[in-house]
Amino acid sequence: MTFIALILLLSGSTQAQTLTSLKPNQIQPLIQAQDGTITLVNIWASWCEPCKEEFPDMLRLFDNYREEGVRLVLISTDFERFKPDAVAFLKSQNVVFETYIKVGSDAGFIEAFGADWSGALPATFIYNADGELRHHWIGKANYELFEQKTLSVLRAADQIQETK
Amino acid sequence: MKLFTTGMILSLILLLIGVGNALALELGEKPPLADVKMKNVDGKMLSIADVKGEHGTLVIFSCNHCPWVVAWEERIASIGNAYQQKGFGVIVINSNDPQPYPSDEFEPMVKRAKKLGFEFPYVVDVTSDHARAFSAERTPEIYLFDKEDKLVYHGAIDDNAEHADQVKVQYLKDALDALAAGKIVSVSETKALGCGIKFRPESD
Repeated sequence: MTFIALILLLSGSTQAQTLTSLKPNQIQPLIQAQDGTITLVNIWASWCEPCKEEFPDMLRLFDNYREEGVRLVLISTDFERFKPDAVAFLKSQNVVFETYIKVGSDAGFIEAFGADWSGALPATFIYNADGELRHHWIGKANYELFEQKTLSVLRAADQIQETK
Repeated sequence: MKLFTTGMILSLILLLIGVGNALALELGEKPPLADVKMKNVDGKMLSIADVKGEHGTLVIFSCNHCPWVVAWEERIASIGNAYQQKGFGVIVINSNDPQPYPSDEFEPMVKRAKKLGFEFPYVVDVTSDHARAFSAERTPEIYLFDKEDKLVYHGAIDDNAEHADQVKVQYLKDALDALAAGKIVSVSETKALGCGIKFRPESD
């Protein structure tokens, strides 16, 4: 905690990321607790080039669809010693909302998303309002892909609403 | 009529899902593209079949820069070297496209192999087709075949990339030791995080 406080002090910004630690058994509760219409979970790391390359498009999608209830959960898989790099990258992307960093075993973490995921990075998981997994993929995405998948979940939610 | 259509659509979906799963390399399957030669860091051309060992063959998808590879590298070198001595074939394959990521070029591979003291081949999969055929998705990713070329272990080297001194289960070593002793591999599939393989565009 002292180390984190020092980073905050040195960065001179009260908005600096601290990256909340996330254990495997905390992942599903976090997803289920999201109050939006769609939860986009992105797994990244500060050394992962494709992860960083897709960030701007992902954040732009989040900005554009925030009012439609899109929630964004960012989880870094950086090793402890690379955490400052994760903090610095998030700062460079102007990410000020709470984000997370994985702690604990890889195996438990990989199984926690409810998908057949190999553990390859980057990975994106999209859940609907009920916390059900709707889409997932590995590899770098672009704005069009993020938007297409987001819209398909939002439209499905609309259809359910209309039949009620 | 509608029921029939729905049934047909459902059957088609199930069929496609089945096909999708069948594409992933399953336990018991043989190494794909086993006879296709790849350039080793010493300039020679080698295939998986060329390195086949009397107790089995260890295939590792890897690269030069991924922190997960770097974290496990010394373990890859020591396990690879030790078990090659014990009668296993060992081959490490780099399927990454160096175009966008020059750290995966051939020269850095040569340097890395030398620095780590690899006594086994570190080869270039120039089309990324080996990774595609294996359905390999990340680096590092382990495929261990027994003496009959059947896949008996797929996944991670051990359960702790970040801290070698905190490893609780050495999955790969346990699997290799089981094969050497003629025993069954008890943990045959594991997962770990790693860098997505950077596939080259598919050739026509």
